[in-house]
Amino acid sequence: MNRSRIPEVLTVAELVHHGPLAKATLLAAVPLDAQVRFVRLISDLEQTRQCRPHTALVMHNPAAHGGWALESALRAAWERNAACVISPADTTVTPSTIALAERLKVPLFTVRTDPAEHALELAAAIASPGAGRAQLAARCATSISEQTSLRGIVGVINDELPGSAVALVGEDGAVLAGRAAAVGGQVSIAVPSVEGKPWARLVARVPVSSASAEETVTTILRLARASLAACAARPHLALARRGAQERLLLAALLSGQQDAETEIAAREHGWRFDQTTVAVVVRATARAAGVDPDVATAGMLASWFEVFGDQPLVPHGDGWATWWTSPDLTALQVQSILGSRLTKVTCALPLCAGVGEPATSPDGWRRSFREAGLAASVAAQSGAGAVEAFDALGPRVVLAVLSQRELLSAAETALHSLLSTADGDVLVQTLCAMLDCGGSTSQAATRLGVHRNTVSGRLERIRARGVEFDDPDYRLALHVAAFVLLGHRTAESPG
Amino acid sequence: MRIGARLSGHAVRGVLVDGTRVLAQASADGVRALGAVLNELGAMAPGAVQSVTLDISDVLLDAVRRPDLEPGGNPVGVLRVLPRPPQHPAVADHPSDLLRSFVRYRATVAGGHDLFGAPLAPLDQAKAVEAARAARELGLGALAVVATGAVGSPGHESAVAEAVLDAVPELQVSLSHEIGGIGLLMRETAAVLNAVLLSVAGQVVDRCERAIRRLGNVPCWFATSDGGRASAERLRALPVIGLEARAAMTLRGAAVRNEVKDAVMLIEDGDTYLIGEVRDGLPRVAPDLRGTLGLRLAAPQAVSTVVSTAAFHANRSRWLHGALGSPVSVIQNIELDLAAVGAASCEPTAWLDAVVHADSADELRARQRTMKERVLSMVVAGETPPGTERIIESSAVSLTYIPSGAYRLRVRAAAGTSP
Amino acid sequence: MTTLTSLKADDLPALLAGADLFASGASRDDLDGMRYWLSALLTERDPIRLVTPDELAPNALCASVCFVGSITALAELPMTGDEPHRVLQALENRLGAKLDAVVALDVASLNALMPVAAAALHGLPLVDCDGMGRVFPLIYQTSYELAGLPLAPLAAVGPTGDTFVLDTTSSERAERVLRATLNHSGGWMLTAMYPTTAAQLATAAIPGSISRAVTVGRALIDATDTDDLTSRLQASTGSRVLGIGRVVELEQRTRRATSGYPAYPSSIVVRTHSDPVRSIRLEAQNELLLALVDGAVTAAVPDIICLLDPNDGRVTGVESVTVGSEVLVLAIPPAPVWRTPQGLAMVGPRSFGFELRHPNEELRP
Repeated sequence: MNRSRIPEVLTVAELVHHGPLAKATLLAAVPLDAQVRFVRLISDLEQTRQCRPHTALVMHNPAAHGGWALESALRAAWERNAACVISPADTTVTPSTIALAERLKVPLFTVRTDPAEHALELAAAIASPGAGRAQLAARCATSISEQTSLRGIVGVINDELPGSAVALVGEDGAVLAGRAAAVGGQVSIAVPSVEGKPWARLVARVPVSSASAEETVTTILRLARASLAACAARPHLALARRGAQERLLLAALLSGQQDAETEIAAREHGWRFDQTTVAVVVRATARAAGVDPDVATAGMLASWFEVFGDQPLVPHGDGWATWWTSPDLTALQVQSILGSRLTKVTCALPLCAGVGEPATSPDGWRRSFREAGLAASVAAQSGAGAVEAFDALGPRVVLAVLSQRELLSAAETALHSLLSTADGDVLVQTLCAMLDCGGSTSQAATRLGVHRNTVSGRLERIRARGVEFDDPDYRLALHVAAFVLLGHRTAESPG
Repeated sequence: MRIGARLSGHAVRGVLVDGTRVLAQASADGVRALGAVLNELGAMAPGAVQSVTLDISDVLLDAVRRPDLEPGGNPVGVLRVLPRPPQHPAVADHPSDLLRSFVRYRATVAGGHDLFGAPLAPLDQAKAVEAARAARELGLGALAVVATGAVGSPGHESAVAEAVLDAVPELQVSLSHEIGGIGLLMRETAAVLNAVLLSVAGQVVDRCERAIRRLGNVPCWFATSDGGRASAERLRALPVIGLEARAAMTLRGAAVRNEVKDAVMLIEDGDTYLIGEVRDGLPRVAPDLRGTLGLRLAAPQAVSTVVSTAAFHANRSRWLHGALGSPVSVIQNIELDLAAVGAASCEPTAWLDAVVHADSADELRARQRTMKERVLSMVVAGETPPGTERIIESSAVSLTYIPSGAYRLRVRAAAGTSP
Repeated sequence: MTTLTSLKADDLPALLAGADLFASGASRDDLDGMRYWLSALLTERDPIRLVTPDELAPNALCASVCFVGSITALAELPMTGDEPHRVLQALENRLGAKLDAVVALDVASLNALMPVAAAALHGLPLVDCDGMGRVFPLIYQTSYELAGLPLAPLAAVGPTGDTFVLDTTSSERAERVLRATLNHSGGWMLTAMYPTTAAQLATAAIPGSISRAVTVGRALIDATDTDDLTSRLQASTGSRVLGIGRVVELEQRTRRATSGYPAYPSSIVVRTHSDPVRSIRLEAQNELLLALVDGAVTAAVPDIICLLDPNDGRVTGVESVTVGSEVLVLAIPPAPVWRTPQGLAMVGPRSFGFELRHPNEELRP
């Protein structure tokens, strides 16, 4: 904490806000920004004539007796620039005395406690303003840690700061917890979620505008941030836990070693495989920011259910599994459903999907899941939103199995000499096209959409780099390398 | 629907009022004036007339100022009840020559109580009866009886009244404690004026009741000096309470017409201004003031000043000194008789002024409560809607220079709905 | 100030008006009966001789006549007219000597009239002086006491006809015993006390009090409007106006009663008509003792604080003030004897239960 920002002198307002004057009754409506440096217990009115500026005058019998003594003290307070006058509660204060206090702008309080005791409390508070603040902070920290809900935490803060109103406000402005009066207040600090994303703000309205009071409130609010974020994250974590359970359950079903318990559990989840089932695997496209899919699941689920209704979304492998079950279902139908709606699912990661073949037996839908997984791998190379059906893949399914990550580094090494040039990408593209077309330059030119001579020139440059694609021993490897590199590049730039 | 009217000399000016709205007015002169005004207003009333309230203060004042006229004030006798007889003629007498002009016989008998109710001397009832006989022999028709300490301890005055009425039945007796106030001379003033006015008041009230009877069974009220009203019976017995009603009724009527409740009232009446104040619709009153006759009376009367228009405009701020902060409400007393309007809208009032002893703040409060209850019960005795009675003023002042614990308590109450 | 040498019936209104002012808030307007009686007394007799102490033989025997008790009680139970004569007689009997002159204990309110009545009825001259210069609630709060004159023996007569004579060496006890009898004696007593010689009186008394009261009273009566009134008063007494306004608060028992003093404390708050508005708070117990303007102590006992009706210049007593009354608050400096340290010790704010220094008091080193 920046020590130099905490002022050393308290004001009347702060003593009211979180000091001994919190239990006093303020009788006159006057500004409370006077500093309080000293406390003086007054038993003889002569003492008021000799007090130093910025003194809190605590009236004590016999000086307290009678409205005249109070008025005399108020006058002396005004003349000597005292901070305030505090009178015992048993002194009758008439409207004319209050009017005088307001005219002279001297804060007038009454307290029920013994004046001498009260004076001691005040003296302690003003002797070390930081101590009071630190005590308040310690108390708040303890109370906050005992709370388990947003309402509980914000409620504790409101209790500890009776002078202020505090609220937790979402990014959309809705009050999530606390007092609505706080909205628009002077103090506002951000409360990020556990993932570090903007989630809500803690706002506070401090009735007496003073830098020090705002400082105190800010300190307390900062204490609460971590607890608030953790409280809010719990529902997310619950979701993640459920995801893990479902993953295990599905795995058990697909392993072929299910037992009665697994079947019961599946039924409880509402999972049906009794009719024609078409399996689908949804996954992130090949390259995406390092986000834990389990966490991403939580963020995705709400949106998924919104788009696809009751469709389960079970973590599976690197992605998620889902399936459609209905009589006479075809893969094409499922593919078209996915094709039109998958992009509507909001997720931190770009999604694609693979669709398996329809099945009607346990063995059948296990196979369907494997097919869906392979199709999804191919879809991943085509970019976000791509949906591939297994039966349309054909031989390309073999390529789908290729583990993109491991091959990429090998491919980069193999074609390093090309990649290090400025037009490396173009050259790799040309090489791949030519090998796709079985060495035909003119077909490659058509595939790429350029002139035959352009292709020849590029091929010359490739040969010049030492890439010997004419050699049958290297041709397959180079083709695979180029294919992998191109797929990577495609994944990185969603179509 | 109510009728209010002011009698002055042979003239009567009246109004018909519904709540605070004046529906009609009428005026007449001469012997049958009141009957004429009442008939006219009664005929214009869309509904039943609930009451008729009359301000007869001018009639009463005239009886005192011009006793030679018929009906005029009659000479009376005074009987004082004190522990020791006066030792100087000036002490035996009354300082006011107006009052002295009505007193044809004076006597002092032993008796009386101190301010806390302790008897100062045994009552010499026999001597009181002797004095009554002597007064009657002089041809006097009424006797004012004033005993020291009578407000707190009315016993001696009541005993004198009983004995005198037994022995001299034709003599009317006016007891000072029935009118109230602290101060022997002030009570004597009131008791004497009362005795002086008994006969006049009786005649006037009879006349008024006869005239009102033609409207049906409508209650007859009379305006009082403190801004309230009293029953015909009460005014017959205590006419002095109506003596200063005019200023109070005028202020009240002005406030009703201008629809103000708290203001300084400036009423233009020909070539004079009447300046007074209303609070919560009621005229501001004070006890122990000198009234129109220059005599101090204990009963509360309106605090008002009459100043010529010339003098007013010469130094406006002097006359409206208290007006800074309060709104000033101006009205002319030409079209409608404001006192009649005030009479039509006034409500019953009652007051008590007494000395009590209290040793602590709690005891003082208890005494004040008792007095408040007494005043409230005084004010409801009459045809007022129950539950409308309320305390208007209550004060306690410590008596000076005697050991702590003696207080003068004053309480005023009113009943009926305020406008 | 005009020094008078005699008092006639014509002087009575002025004497009473001035006496009202020096009553420091304890003035009354229910003294009609007493005025009437005094007027008759002075009309049927020769004017009363008004003398200074020097004009008397040094060992001339003088006694102070003073009304003690409640004027409300007096209004309810008036004097019969023989009290002044009887009380002087009782004191003479006790002293075994005849009195040569009558003195005033104080020339405030009714106590301006009582020595005049006594002088008239007993056929004695009246000394133009008094022992207070205003009124104080206790009988020994006098310049006589400060000078060391004994208060007793004293004689007192009341409305019941009883006479009582008290011998004591303690003035405080005399006050307490006398005060205690009041409630059982009908509420008031006329007393004669401080028997002394003219020579002692010359140094112990505040001179010229009767003349001063008459002069000030004339100013009050002759003044044409409020401004004329305040300037005349300022010229004759050195007074100053603290404010003109309306009474907004009137509370009883607003502070603890100071033991030893009769009656109970009360407070009056006046809101002035000035701009900016000021609040004048007056603390009273029998008399007005303290005036705070916006909390600042502006006048305090022994200063004379009084209330005038700004409309007609009449002095308004504390007992007749009500919420809503218009008042002019005036402060008059006290007699010089009260400004001394001994004087302030006897009648300064602290002796009345106000723990504060008088505004004119010098700071103790």
